[in-house]
Amino acid sequence: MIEVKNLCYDVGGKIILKNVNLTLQQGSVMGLVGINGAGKTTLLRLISGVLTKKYGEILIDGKKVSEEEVRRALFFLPDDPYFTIYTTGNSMYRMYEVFYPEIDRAVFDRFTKEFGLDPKKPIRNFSKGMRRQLYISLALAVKPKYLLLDEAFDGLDPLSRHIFKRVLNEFVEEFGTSVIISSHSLRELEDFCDCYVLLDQMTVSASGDIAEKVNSFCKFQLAFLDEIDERAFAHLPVTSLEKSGRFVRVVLEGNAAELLPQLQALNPAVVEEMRMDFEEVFILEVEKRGYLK
Amino acid sequence: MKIFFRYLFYRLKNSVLRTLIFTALSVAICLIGISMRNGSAEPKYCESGLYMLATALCITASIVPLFELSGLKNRRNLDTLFFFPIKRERMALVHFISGFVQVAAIYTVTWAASYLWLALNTDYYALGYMIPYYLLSLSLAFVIYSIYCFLFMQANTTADGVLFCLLWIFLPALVSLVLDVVWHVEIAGKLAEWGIMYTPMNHLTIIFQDLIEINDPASWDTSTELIMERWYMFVIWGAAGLVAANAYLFSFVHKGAEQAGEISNSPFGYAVLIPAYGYCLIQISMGIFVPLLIVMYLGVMLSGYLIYRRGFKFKVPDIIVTVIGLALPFVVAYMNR
Repeated sequence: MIEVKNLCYDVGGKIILKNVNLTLQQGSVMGLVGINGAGKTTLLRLISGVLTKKYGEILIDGKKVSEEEVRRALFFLPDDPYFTIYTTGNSMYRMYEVFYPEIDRAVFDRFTKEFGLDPKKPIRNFSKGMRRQLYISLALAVKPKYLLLDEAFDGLDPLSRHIFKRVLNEFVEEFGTSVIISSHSLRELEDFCDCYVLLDQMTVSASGDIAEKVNSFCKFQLAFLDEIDERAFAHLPVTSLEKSGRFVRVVLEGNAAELLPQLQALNPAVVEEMRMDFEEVFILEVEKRGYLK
Repeated sequence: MKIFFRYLFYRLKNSVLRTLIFTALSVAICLIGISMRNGSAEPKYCESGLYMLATALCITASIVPLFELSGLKNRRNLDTLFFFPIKRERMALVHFISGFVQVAAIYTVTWAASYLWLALNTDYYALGYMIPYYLLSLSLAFVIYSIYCFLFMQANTTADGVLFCLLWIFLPALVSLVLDVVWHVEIAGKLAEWGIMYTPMNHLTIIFQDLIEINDPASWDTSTELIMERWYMFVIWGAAGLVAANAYLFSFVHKGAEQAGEISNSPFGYAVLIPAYGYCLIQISMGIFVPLLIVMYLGVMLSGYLIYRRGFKFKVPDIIVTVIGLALPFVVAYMNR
């Protein structure tokens, strides 16, 4: 279990994180979301021990992250990992082998093959997505207990995303790996994260179960015979409303089954419930916080 | 501890090519130098070429830290290196040891090649002295290496690190010159003589050159006197080396990964070097035409702060320091009137 308690971090007096609290249960996959500059990367760098915390506590299985033994259970994949002009997939593997002697060559070979990578070729010739695939192969070959992924989907093509999500799910099931994954691809996160943490204003502003969060909103599309006044929806818990002539698209906060009769009372010609996804919920959240006008 | 040795072995293995190149260059320079000096000279005027060996060692001990530690000036590298399951102290020690092993390896091969050349081609040297020279010079190389490791760690970028190392070489001599000429401080001469980290190596080489070239008995006496007079200089610099090694370890452990690539704010960096150089330059150039002096001084300070702040982002302390540095020599000149 990863526990972050009252974590504060600043650089030269500029506060980056303030009183961050979060808990990652064993075998859980957490999506770390937030707008650019919210502190997602800093939080991951602190949890992985790259940065040293200023105040607060970071405990991994009850122990401090500065301990070697604790860090052996961790794997942090930064958004822009290390390589030199001479680095090849094989030389990266040898470097990781130094620190993780139990790294599994067969797993590394399996995933590099699945991603269509040649580990003998210099990484400098790889595209950003290919590099990410290589590091993901390394991460999976290490079989860590805790996997921290920064901007995990950045640069991956749809097929690679699909493979990555599949193998990550397999890993979580097989090894009980706990994952914290930061990404702006919220639709991808929704596919395999069971919980989320929203960083905003330097702290955790919302967190919980993704499905629960998505289900706390419902979206309807309505068509009316005559143009309808927006004020007709005033009594409803409207989060967002788009009106185009006789058509209305409305997002309401609450249970769809309970709200549907209230919408039907407005006498629409057609009322249809639409699927909400995590990205829409995220946009509503940031809108609520005044980031989108 | 297992990871410590695995990482050390990994780093040494990865630096084999670099070490081989440095060794080849070092051996070539030394052998060419030694053979040229010993080729046609009369035995009593010949030189063992020990200076070549000392020079190669000083250059190696000064350059290797830059190669060994420059990878730590990049945030991308640190994001990968610092999450590895190895304590920061041990990682610092691995980089330190790995670099010094490279210095020692390059020097050992160069020394052995020089020894062999002298043994095979000359018969007038007391080559037995080459062995204690090897051990003592390597100890002094440790001092130079430690100081450069410490200075380089003070910088947040490779370029700043190189500048810090270069500027610190000459600062003690410059300060002593000012102390001597302007303030008439007696210790100044000694500071100039002792203050440069290569001085002990220079003295050691003088001593052993005399010992090895025993053809002239007068040299023997001079070298003995030199040892008697200057033995404490070696002790002082040895202590400085140990302090620098510990300060390097401390800096490595306590330097945050977020500082990589940022402005180098260390008290051992620009914050001291710029005003010190500015003040010393204006002070030792006091005789020249005053407006030219002021322009020269402002040019030095402006260039310094431009490099330090990476642009025209001067801060109030920079301006205050510049003004004080400009005013001080005139106040001193007025007082000495």
